[in-house]
Amino acid sequence: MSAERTVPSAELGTPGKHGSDTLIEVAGLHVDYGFGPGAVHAVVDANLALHRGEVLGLAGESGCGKSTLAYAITRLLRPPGIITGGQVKFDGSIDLLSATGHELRGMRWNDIAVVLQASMNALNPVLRIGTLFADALRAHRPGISRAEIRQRSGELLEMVGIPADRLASYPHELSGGMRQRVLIAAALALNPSVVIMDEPTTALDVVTQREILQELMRLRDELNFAVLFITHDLSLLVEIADSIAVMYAGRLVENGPASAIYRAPRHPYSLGLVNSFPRLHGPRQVMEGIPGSPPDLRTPPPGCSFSPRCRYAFDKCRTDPHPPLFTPEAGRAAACWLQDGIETVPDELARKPEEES
Amino acid sequence: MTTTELSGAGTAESSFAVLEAKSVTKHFPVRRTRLGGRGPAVHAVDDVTLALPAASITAVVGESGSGKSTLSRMLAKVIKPTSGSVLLDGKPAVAGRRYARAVQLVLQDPFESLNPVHSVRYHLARPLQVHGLASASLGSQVTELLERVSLTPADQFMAKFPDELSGGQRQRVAIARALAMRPRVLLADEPVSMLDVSIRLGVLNLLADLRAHDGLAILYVTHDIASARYLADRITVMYAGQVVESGPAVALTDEPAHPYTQLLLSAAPDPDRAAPPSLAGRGAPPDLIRPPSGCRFHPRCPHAMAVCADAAPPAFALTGERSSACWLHASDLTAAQSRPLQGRGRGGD
Repeated sequence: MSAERTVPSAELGTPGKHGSDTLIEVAGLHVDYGFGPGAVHAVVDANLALHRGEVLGLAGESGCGKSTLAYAITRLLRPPGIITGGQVKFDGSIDLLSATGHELRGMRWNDIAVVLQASMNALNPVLRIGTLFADALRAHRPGISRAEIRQRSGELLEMVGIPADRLASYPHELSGGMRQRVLIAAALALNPSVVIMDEPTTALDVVTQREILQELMRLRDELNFAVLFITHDLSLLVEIADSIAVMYAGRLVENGPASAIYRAPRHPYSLGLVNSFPRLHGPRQVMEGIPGSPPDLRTPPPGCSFSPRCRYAFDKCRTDPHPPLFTPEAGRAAACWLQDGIETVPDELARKPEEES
Repeated sequence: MTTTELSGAGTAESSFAVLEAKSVTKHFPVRRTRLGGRGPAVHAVDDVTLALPAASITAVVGESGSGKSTLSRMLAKVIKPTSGSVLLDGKPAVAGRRYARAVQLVLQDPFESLNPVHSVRYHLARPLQVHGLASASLGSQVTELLERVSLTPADQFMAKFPDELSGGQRQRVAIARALAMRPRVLLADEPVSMLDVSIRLGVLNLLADLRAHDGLAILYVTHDIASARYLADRITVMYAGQVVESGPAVALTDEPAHPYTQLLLSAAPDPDRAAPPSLAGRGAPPDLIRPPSGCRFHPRCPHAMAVCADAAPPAFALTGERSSACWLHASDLTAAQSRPLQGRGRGGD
């Protein structure tokens, strides 16, 4: 990362919307699948803040609850998923968890847009691309004229580097990368202040992925929307995100500025993740990854859920309840007993962000 | 993390190729004409030569559609080349049990390559029985296989079914099954791309172990050039069915010679990157039914010259056992040939 990106000030935000700097604030969110004694706790006590114009990366392995968290925030969670506690606030005032269907419909696309991973499944194969845009525009801007729809849809496609005449194409006539761009363009149709992206580039080739990410970052700078970017690929997040939250077995175990998470992780799991990506430079070194595999959330381990795989684990990790988020220094948080201010922190988990690993 | 090199055999150059592809080509017909004549075909692999030496890992890197999986299947003799030959120990080999005993294929998706109704023990014992390699102590043979892929204690894993295993454990079972034949060649097609990030390295390190301790010749097919750099002795980069560059893994990734390799590296995720990446090229891979004339990369290449559209470049030998199929390495081009192509090869922005 060349320079720290600063979060743009609120004045740059989309005019006409509320002025709060924190767009989405998640506090103590719990999500279960099923209920009663057999319930699986997919998200436990999640706390998260997405600021205006910021790219927040949510990193974690499959099954860690990162998509569930996104679905809960946007109220797209389907049964048997149940939000069992917590709060999600939009723009400081609107409570997303108690919003009615009518209120939610008003906010979706307008304020919060979603881009999902499987672009082929997200597009209706029998409808032209233009119909998708027209649907969204008509639903949210009643009374919009045909000419306006055509003009706005064309603009949107061109914004993501696709010629406007592709509005007449069917999804199967576009490549995977183009379909993903169409979805991004559609998400931006109504100038939302938040875009939630769940593995938006995972199924794409590296070159296409990079093109789309560059486009996304350019649009972010132009339109100043905030992005919650969900992926398993931490090495990618370090490049594009302002801050990163790391999730493991349903819990957010660490968060902080992106480069700090990469260069100076505070949680043993983040350290393990950072050491799981072979580097493109320098001498080759044997890397170990993380031993074992993520726990089955139906039978979570006692104590800290990472303790069975953690090389630093001691008795407290296995016997005490899951550690809360400690704040080892300003702007950092890690749910690890080693960071409680009493334990001696191993050198690897106490690096200064400026030092090279 | 230790600072030692992954223990390669280090003798890759001098040792002799166990398995070789000699100018293999595979065209998949897309439509048969009524009179049985030749219709259009997908040029999946065109004139690829590749050698897999013993005790060495050769990585084939490419995007989807580059022909890397087709190549691995031709090497496994699962599909027949349109032309060219596959040589085992320098001799043409026929597909069959004898071949399967020497060359084994591990596939990408361990969720599909294991049969959900069979136990781990069955998956490992069955090939031994089929090939007549089962001894009186079949149980201990299976135990040994599980131990070789670090699924210990083996007794605990034997009775399990695939759905009781994690992705990484399943892939280890798939590798153990391949090892049951005591093969000399292991063809691994994207063996870690379906696995969680934190367990990928475990499987890659297992492949490195098999190279060092069992002297296996290993083909590692991947789209992830960083993992190829980590694991392989040599890397071969494929684009649109052809080899564009090959060389020792570190040298090739540190100083890529071919513009396509440069593009791949400029696009790869790299947290250590000092400046925001600038893509060395644009666009998407070509239609392989009607591949571009000349060099197949020329429509995307920022350095494209007139000659690139006319003639396919041969593989130019470079120093350090490297080669690159690009006209930029030719020293005897005429002025007309080296004229930049108009309106093409816009660099990254």
